[in-house]
Amino acid sequence: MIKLRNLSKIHHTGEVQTRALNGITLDIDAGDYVAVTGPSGCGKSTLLSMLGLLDTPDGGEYWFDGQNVAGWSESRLNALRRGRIGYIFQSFNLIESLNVAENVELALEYSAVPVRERKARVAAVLERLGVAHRAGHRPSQLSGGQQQRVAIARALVLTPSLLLADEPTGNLDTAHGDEVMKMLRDINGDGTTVIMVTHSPAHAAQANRTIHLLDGKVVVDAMQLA
Amino acid sequence: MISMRDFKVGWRQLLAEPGWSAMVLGGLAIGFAVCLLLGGYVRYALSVNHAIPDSSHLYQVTMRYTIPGQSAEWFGNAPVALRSAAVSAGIPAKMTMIMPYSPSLNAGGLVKKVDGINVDADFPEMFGVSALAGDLKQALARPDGLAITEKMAITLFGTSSVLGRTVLSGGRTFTVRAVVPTPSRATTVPYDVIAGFESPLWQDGNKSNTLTNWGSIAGYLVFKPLPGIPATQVMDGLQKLAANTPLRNQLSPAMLAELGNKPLIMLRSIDLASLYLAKGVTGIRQGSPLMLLSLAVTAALILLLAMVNYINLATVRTVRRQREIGVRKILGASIKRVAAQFIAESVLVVLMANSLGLLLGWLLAPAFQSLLGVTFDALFDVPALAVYYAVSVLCGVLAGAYPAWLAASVHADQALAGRGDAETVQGLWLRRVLTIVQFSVAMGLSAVTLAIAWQTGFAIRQPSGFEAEHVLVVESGRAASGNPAVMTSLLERLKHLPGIDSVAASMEAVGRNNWSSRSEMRVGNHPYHSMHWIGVERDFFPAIGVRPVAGRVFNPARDLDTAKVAVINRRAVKALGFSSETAILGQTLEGGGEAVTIIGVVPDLRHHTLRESSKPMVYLLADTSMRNVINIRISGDMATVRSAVEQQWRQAFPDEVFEAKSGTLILSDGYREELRVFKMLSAATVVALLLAAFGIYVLSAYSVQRRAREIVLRKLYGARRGDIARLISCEFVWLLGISAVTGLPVAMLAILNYLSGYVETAPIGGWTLLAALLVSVLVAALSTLRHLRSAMAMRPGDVLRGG
Repeated sequence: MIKLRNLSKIHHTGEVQTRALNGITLDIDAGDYVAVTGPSGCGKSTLLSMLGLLDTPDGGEYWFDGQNVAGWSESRLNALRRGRIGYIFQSFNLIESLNVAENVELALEYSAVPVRERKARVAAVLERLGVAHRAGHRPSQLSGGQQQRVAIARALVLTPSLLLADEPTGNLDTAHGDEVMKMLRDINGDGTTVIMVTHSPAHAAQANRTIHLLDGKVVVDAMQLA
Repeated sequence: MISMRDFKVGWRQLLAEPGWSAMVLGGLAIGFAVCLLLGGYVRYALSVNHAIPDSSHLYQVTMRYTIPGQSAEWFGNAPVALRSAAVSAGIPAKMTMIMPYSPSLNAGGLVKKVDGINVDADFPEMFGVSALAGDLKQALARPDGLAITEKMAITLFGTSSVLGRTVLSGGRTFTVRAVVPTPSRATTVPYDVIAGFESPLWQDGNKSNTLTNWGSIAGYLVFKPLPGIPATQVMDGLQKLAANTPLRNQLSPAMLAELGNKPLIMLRSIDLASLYLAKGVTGIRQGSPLMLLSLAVTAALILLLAMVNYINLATVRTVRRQREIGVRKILGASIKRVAAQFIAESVLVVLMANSLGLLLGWLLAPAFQSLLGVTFDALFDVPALAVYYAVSVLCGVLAGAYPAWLAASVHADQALAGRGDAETVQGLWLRRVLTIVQFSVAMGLSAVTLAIAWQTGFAIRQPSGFEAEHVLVVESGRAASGNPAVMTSLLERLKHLPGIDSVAASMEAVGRNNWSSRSEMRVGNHPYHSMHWIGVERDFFPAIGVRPVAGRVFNPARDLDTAKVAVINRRAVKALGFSSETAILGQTLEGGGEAVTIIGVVPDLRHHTLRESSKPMVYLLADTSMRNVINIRISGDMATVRSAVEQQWRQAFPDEVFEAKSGTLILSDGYREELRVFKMLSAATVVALLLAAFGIYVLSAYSVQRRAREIVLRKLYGARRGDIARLISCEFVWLLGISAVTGLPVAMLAILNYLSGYVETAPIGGWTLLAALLVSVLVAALSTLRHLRSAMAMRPGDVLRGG
């Protein structure tokens, strides 16, 4: 599904250049559950942005579903990721001016799903995530755990083939964190590829593969024993 | 591309931040309201006389004298005698003479002053006026008949079915013989009633003189060339007639020699469609092209400031919403889609603001029209509203373009990681420049407004030479000419009222020069000089509290009404070639075939505004036809005496409206235009300052937000509250500095240009510029205070934790 070949990314801050990714080579197959770990500043989030087609590399190749997308324009990347990739964030990133159902429906709105289908799909995914009773509420009226469920619902409503999660439990207490981790396992169990950035060794251990980064390079790429 | 959901989101954004919404909507609504009203005036000015059929082929004759030493101003009026001469000479055009006047009508006890015109039989056809009811031809032909507009009929009688109803005017009864449509308000020939030339409704003691004397220029001469005849051919014919005017025979040999072959009267024609904005014509209802341009520029500036304000506010909000934009982007929103959403939000804001602006405009329209002295026919008709909405939506799209572009440029990954800084350095500079524009305009307007206020106050307070505050001036022209005997009796009765020291009629009140008469005069063998003269009664000088500086003033005990004596002012002494005021006493003053003895010299009274220097003035004893105003010197309470005078007036002239003003008000009336401009500029200045305050308020909010981390780090290393205040203020100090450098020199030029129209000016110097700067600094300080305090109170822990 994903092939990275000697991928690199340089951040420019004024006259200072920082090599965020330094020659990453990696293969990720459909159905994988990958945890990306490493210390702060090692390039985890940059790698996730690359994988999610939110940013373009400065060097190397990125093959996504058989197409080398390195150097593609933003509009082409936008078209490619639409409906195929779901995102979950540490800070949930729900839009306060929209209610729960509208936040979830947003993903459908941009993907040309017919209007009559939208309501049903939103209702179904909210039901699945256990927040259907909160559909009319604003994000600020929900607990952290509920907000992350809504964010997951939004990521899943288009049934993406790849789900990217950036520290999905970072803002949650242990109980809610465990709940989210269980959901990710279930989602992966349904066949969705999941790539998760985490600082938590315990959460990383729940994935079936762990990639450890240091200074923009992959230093460990280990499969978990079942 | 734009969906209803975008508007829904925009609506929720407005509800979520009421303060922000109030600033955005308020700013834009004010801008739109100002534009609506000023646009209404521009439309009015450009449409004057357009309701008259074929107005671009109807020409009004304007004229000027070429008498040496006299001003070369063009009059919108023409000699009535010119029309008779033109008709006799077979000039190939239809012609009509229109005599405007303001009679009082008494309809069953309701006395009202109206706009009247006396016209000849050709007027209705040329101006496209036909009767709604009755016979217009009869109304003009019969001396006791008149035609009345539908609106005035309703005002006076409560109905438009008024044929055969009567009104009283000047003690005579007139019958309504026709009702005509109410003319457009956008006209140089306004009328409520129309009567024929023979009608006694036109009361003028010198009526026969007015109709035949080439020196009497009281009416408007309008012609329409016959088919196939160019207007220039008609004008050539009229000019030849004017060149042979009998007035030439009244000039002295010396003046005739100086005049040479030049015609004494020069004519030119202006089509009615262009007349209102034609340059330099006096004696007609006219708009000033400069005023029109100023108002149009002011409207554009206010709209620009409102849009700048909106761009500033919308940009800050967009920067705050970059996480939301990032989310939308990763969920698949294209750049166009994100931009469309922000444009939609902008259009929603603008549609709401222009509806508010419409309401505001409607509320302010009466005051605005009163300020301009015009009445619009239709300010809120369909074409006006269509243009209004089209322009405001266009403004919304334009103003929303920058925030939309900013939103489209958001990098989703950076925004979601909290690293994004959606506004580029160039963007920030653009907004700083916009804020500079706001303050430049606000400072410039403030400085000019203050200068006009100062100069006008200075002009009004200048010594007038007479005791204006103790003088009550009653308008008596029509009443006096209609019934001289009653007028004489009234004057006698007034003299005996308590609180009145002295009473005298005159041709004109001191402080204005609506009735300006000039003649060539000389003393002995000195050269002729163009002198202004005014007819006054014998008690005139005591009635206005003026004492002679040499000789004596008129004295009822010594001078008969018909005495051949004159009093002159100091400037006239010099103009007549004398250096001593006493030396001219007893000299004979010749002019216009008359000779009078100079018996006294008085100070230079302010007959004109400060825009003109004092003129050489001769005061002659008036006959009863010259009693246009009554001057009453009051020793008691002005209001009480005024009431007593009004009572006497109503007994004497029950059909005439009582109009009286203090001498002080007459003087300040000369500066009505300045006061009007001052009021309009004051309003524009307040709006500009308000918008500038909004702009800098938002900029300070954004600045503090953007520099929060820097601020707390400085605090961690020991910065005190004062240091933080200086850090934040510094940015605005130089913004104000640049605004001053760009705005104030332009204001200075405008002020100098304005003051150049006066012969005496207030010691304005650079004070108004300094005051404008201080006002702007104060406004900026108050606007940034809140965010300055929040910066000073910022807690490092909160900011560094991202709180």
